[in-house]
Amino acid sequence: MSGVKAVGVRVALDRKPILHGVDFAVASGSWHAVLGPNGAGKSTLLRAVAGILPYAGEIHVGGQSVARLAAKHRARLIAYVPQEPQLPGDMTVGEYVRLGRTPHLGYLGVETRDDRAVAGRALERLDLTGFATRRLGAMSGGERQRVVLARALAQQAGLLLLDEPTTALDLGHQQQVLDLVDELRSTEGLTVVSTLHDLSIAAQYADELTLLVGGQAVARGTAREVLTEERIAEHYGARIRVLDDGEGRPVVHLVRGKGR
Amino acid sequence: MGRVGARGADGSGPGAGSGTGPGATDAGFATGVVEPVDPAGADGDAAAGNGSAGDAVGAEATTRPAFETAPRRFARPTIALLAATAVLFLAVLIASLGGAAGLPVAGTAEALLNKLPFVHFDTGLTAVQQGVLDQIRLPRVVLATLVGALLAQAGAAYQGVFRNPLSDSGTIGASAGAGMAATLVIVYGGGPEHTFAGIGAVPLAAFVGGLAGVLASYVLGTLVGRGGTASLILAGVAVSSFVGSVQAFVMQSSTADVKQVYSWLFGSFTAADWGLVRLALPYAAVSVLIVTLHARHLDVLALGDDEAATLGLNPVRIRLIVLAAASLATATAVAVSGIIGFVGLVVPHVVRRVAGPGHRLLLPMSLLVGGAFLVLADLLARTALAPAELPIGVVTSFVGAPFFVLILRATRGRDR
Ligand SMILES: Nc1ncnc2c1ncn2[C@@H]1O[C@H](COP(=O)(O)OP(=O)(O)OP(=O)(O)O)[C@@H](O)[C@H]1O
Ligand SMILES: [Mg+2]
Repeated sequence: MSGVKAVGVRVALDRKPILHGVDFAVASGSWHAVLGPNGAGKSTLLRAVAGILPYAGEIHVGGQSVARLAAKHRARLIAYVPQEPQLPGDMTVGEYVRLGRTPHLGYLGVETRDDRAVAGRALERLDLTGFATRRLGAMSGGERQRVVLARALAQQAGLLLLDEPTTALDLGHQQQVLDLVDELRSTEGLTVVSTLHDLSIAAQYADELTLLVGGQAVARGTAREVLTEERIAEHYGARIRVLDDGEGRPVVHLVRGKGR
Repeated sequence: MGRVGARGADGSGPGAGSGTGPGATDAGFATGVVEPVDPAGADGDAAAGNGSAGDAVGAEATTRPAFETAPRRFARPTIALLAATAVLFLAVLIASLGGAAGLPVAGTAEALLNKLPFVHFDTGLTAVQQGVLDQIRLPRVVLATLVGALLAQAGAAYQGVFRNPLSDSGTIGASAGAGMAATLVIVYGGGPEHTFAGIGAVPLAAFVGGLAGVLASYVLGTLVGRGGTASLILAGVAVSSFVGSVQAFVMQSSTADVKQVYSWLFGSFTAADWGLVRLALPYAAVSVLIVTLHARHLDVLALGDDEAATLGLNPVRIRLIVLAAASLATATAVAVSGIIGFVGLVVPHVVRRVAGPGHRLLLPMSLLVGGAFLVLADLLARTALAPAELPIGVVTSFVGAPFFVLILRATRGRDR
């Protein structure tokens, strides 16, 4: 049980208010997409939910206030994949993914065979088994993104926070990663909150969406409710068409400008 | 929607199990340098220079065969540790043999092994030879080993804490603070003859000054930059150069003591005796223990503070604990030997090339290799111009400075 409930979340960075009272709720076992233009505060919201930013208001994960959770307990509850993860170039892929087991280890961090098995399965699920002994510095951008995801999966937390998890992935791997997350959601009851720039993908995978603009949630609901032509045009300042994929989910297209 | 459930499901297997796996076999790492995920794809540079020593650098990275991109490391950490222990023993043996009075090789080796519990050889050394070994050579050799080990491990710890491969006692204010305090005592406080509760005033001042230097850097770094690692190092450099200028002024105004201060600033083991070893040992044990226990934490810190926090650590607290322990080690080393540069910088880098970035191997290996390095450097210091002695800091810097440049060259692809 790891649903999220946030009420009136306000965050200031460097004393500058970034989030101005955001409400949102994610049912346990569902996928929630946070959308919005650059600088809207999506990453900030995710970091607040992850418990690594001080915030005002309330954020509950699995019924417990995030701010009051002990770090280790929080880490068993919430896994977070940042938009720009830091990867030490000399570390191997296997070593990195095993660090995902940290919240399950004692103070000295001694890994058991089980821990290694869990990490091994995470590698497998992301097609990375053959890369286990490679240095992170020798991985491509998309491979690294999958490595980071594997580390988050090795954490075995009930809530997965993904900040732009597919930006560097090719089409096939985008689908593979999103399908994997979707499968974990349905088979293991994982709750997923992700930011996604691709609105059509968000419409495909997310049960519910929140549109964040200027630190405020301006729309919330299913893809059909949130992704209307007028709203996207207004908030993104883009010329777009919203079509239907035939199964009731919107598909967002850019419309080319007149200039050559 | 109401609150859901009492506990987050995590479907996790074993909780905080305490396995018996060979801790260092796997995992572990953290090098100073961190690369962001580059959504545009990995460029050749990302792979450059941070591999093992023989790695080619630069654009050909992309065309290298896969096996070469795997790090070249000892398959077995145990083998690495045993090899390093053997190197240390050899270094100690060689250093024990070097000196005016000749000692037989085999007998000395056996006499050294006799120091281990449950070992007894009939060495064939004369009483005089045994006396030379026990009272003249060994105190100095042991002290040099201890100091080398402390400085090297502290360097590795600083580099892990700051995620910066150039961090060292020299760059975070420890050496400068110790040097300043010792200078003050030598010039104004009656000099080395002065004692305080049976402890020499100079070592005592160096100890306090070293800790104060780090503390000043830390407070300053926190004030100006919210404790980010870069601001801490910059603060350390600022504190070091400020203190250095004050020290130069003090020395200028008291030319009579300059020679004494200088000999101290470049380090020396001439005063070594068992008393100094006994003085240093408890602090050394505590600091080594604390640093070693946080090896895996340092690995996690390499991912950055945000990710360390989402993995359940408190990065600020861990940084503070390890920083304090490493500074205790540095202060102890400086107190008994003066300022010896480059050991903390050079040794961890060499070890990293062989053992990889994981701290569970890096930290103990640095202890062993650092001890071996300094014991040999001291041998050189006392025999190269015998009967005159070189300051040991001169020897380590002579070897260290060129090496430092090589490190910079080899890792230049990682500069950002
Ligand atoms: N440390 C900081 N201090 C002050 N302002 C910040 C800081 N970090 C981010 N901001 C500002 O906060 C706002 C929200 O940033 P955030 O990273 O949450 O945006 P985002 O919605 O994730 O954008 P993107 O789509 O580009 O990832 C931006 O306007 C940004 O400039
Ligand atoms: Mg963002």
